[in-house]
Amino acid sequence: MTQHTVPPTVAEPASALVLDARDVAIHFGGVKAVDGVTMEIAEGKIFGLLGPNGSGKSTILAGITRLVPLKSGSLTFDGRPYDDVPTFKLARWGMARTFQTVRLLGDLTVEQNILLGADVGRSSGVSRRAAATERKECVADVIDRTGLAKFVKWTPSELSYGVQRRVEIARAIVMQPRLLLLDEPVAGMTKSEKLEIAALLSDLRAQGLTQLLVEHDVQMMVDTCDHLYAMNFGKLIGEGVPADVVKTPAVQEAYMGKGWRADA
Amino acid sequence: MQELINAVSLGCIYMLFAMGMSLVWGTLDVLNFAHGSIFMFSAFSGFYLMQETGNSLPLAALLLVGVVVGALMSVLAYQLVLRPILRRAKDKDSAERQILIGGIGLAGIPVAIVQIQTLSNPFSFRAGSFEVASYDFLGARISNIQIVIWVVGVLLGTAVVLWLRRSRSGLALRSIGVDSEVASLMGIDQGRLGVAAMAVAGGMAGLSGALLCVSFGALTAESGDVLLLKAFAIIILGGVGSMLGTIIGAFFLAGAETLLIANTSGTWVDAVSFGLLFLVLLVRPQGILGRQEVRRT
Amino acid sequence: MNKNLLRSAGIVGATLMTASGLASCGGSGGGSAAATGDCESGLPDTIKIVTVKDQTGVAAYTGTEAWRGIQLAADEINSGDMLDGSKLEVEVKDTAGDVQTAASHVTQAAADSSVSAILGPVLSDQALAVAPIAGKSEVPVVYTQAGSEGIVDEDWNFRATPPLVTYYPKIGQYLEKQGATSVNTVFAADIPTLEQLSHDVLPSVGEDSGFQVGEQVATQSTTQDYAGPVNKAIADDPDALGLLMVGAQISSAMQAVIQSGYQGEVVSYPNAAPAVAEIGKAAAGVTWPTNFDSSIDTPEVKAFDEAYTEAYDGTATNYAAEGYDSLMWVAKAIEEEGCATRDAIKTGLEKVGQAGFTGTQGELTFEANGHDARSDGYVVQWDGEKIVVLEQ
Ligand SMILES: Nc1ncnc2c1ncn2[C@@H]1O[C@H](COP(=O)(O)OP(=O)(O)OP(=O)(O)O)[C@@H](O)[C@H]1O
Ligand SMILES: [Mg+2]
Repeated sequence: MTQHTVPPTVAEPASALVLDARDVAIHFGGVKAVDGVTMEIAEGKIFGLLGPNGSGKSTILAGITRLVPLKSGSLTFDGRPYDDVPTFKLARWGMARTFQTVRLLGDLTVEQNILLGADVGRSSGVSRRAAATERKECVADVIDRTGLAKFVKWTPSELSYGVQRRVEIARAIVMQPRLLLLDEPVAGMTKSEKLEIAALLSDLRAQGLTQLLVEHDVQMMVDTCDHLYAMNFGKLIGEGVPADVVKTPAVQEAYMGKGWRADA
Repeated sequence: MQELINAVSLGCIYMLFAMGMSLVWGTLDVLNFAHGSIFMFSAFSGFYLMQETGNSLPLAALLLVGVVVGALMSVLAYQLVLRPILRRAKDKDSAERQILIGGIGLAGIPVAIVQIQTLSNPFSFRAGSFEVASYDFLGARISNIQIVIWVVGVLLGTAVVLWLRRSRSGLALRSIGVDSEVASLMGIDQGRLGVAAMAVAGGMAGLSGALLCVSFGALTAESGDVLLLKAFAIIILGGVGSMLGTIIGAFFLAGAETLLIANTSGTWVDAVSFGLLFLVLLVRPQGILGRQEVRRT
Repeated sequence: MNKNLLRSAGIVGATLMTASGLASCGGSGGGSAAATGDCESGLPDTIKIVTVKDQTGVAAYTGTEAWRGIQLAADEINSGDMLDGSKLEVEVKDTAGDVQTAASHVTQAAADSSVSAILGPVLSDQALAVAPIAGKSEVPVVYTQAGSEGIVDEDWNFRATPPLVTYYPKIGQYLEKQGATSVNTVFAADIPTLEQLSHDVLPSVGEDSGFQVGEQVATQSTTQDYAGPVNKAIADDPDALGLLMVGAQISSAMQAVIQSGYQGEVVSYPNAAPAVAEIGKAAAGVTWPTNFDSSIDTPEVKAFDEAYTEAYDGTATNYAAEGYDSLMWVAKAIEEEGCATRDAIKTGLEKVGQAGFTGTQGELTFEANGHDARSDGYVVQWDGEKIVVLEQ
């Protein structure tokens, strides 16, 4: 079961960067949503990205996944620069993400949504049938781990918000990614649901999956992440050990000043 | 009975034509106004080849020519004009607008070529190596070409529905229609699938062009325009992107038209498609089987 | 969306605009024909005739065929020295299916005092727009086709094609011979001429020829599927079925008749010629009255068909024959008056018209004071391979 979730081990030094985003700037007209951010995402860890509303967190994820063009800066994935690589190829290289708002395909069932993720077309070299079998096993495994077994035939609109979010996460991890980007995966969830997800993410890390987690829940970030970035107004305002970062004046000010979320 | 046979044949033609249009509209956001002229030009290519070969092409070859020419034209239109428009457009609204204008512009080219070539006269496949014949069937008449239309219609209609429902690429294509960003994050190559969808759409348009030309006896350079309008009504009726809806819409319109001709003065026929269009837009804008605008939040 | 609809809307609009535009700019069109001189000095060396007809667009076929006939007539007139050493100089202006283009070509030609006469457009909407210009500028315009009413009402306007409705009654002779007592029709209701054929002409012919017109199924020029309409029209198994529609539709309707297994007589009108030729054997027996066919056995038609085949291959069409007759009419008018001024040509056209003449369309007589051609017509039939003349 684990061999499905963990990407084939590559012979690389332990310190290898999975993602290297250098001096990334993304502007929307006059709005400097991201303005010179550098992130070095090393293998096998959970990285956190914290920041008040509108600070540019989702935008940088969009830039990293090549859904919006960069104004400047460079991107490297597993040592490969990908400034001109289209999103779908990036997905095939092993980059997966979830969105801040649920973006499931409403016409499809839960199972079909997850199957879509299993279809990234990376199982080249194996026979079609073998690939199909492997895909099926993998989907079943992920459905099991995310506790979605009883919802497989449902369509997203019939599901509670928390379950919808879980389907999104399932759809991303079924891709057997090398890097998983999560944009506020537990927003709107109950306390116990949050804990389940946090446990799932830690579990995935234990299997070697590198993650970049965007979240407002400071406590969860401190508990879950190995390394934390904090940003405001499109710039990094701190980075390092999570427990330390959240205590710096800049972060404190940014967060307290701009409305610490009641549900955080 | 005769009415039923006629309505089903007409419905098959409408379906073959409208399904392709609905497919690319629902998935690629391409409301292709050149679909009608692709339909016409595919039939014209068959006509042209017939002339060049001394009327010796069998029906199957004519249909094949229709499919190939239709698919090629559709793909070319997509690659050279529509896709660059989609890529360059600032937002969804301006993309839709420009696609529309681009399509109308494209549509003019084949129409003009055929108008010049035929001096705007009708063209038809001269009865060469096949004859249209008709048989008694349960007290009504059915012709050999109608039988071909039924078979092709049922096979292709089912194939397209199954493709979209069951196959991985069909699923992928549908996902592009709902959320193209998510689709690309799932590793779906929209360029390749887009080309495939346009080829299927164009091929079906071309096939219906060739079938119609045989069945109706002749087409003119402008024949695609009338059909385009009807397909538009059918798709709106069935719900954009819903194949089943399109099929229902096609047979509904064909049935309504046939009934109307049988029971009233035939001058009302066109008013029906317009009327349906308005009615559906007023009462149920998403069509019979169309989804509500779920899309992105 | 629907170009045909848009186009017809545009045509109506353009007609109105042209008409009102003319009204406001008064008679400044330049009616003087100074360069054509007076009649004292006899005929000039060259007489310029401008043809304004569709060479491209929806009516390209009709227009180009007419122009062929006109050129054949000009060659014959010039090489036979019909005008006493004076030569006809013909040129063509393309209206491209557009009313305003037609109007502007005619306005320009009228303003050019070296132009003696104009051969006008084939489409009624263009002709209707052009007719008042001819009246205002006092230049004779001779149309072919353009069958609508009102075109030759205006002075200075002439028509060399007998309107379809005037020779259509000839079909009565044929139907009577076949013993037909019941006739149904499928017709294009939005084409006035065809609507008139179905609603007025056929029923009144029937009164003399012993048949009754029953079911008349209306279709439109946008109708594509004729299975339904034809089915309805043959439901009570009439002795004869009239198919009255245009272009590709006539093929579709005929195809639907063939597929329906209907065994009675099928009658149509001259537009059926290309359709039956396309269908071939299966269309054998379709019959219609016409003003011209290349197989008609008269010296005029024989000579014309030969010249046509020589120049263009294929057999002569009715549009070409009409074009030929229209220029011949002008030449006869010039000959009659011995003068090529616009006034003289107008008078000549009327005189020749009142007397009548024999052209490629047979013996032409003229109504409306010599302005509007009439002929008895012929009845022809497609025998599966070629058109044969039944009633001459
Ligand atoms: N497509 C866009 N066009 C214009 N401005 C945008 C666009 N997307 C984001 N922005 C702006 O960029 C800035 C950063 O937005 P972003 O969504 O990245 O913030 P965020 O950190 O994810 O906030 P939140 O915590 O609310 O999700 C905001 O000011 C936002 O209004
Ligand atoms: Mg965000």
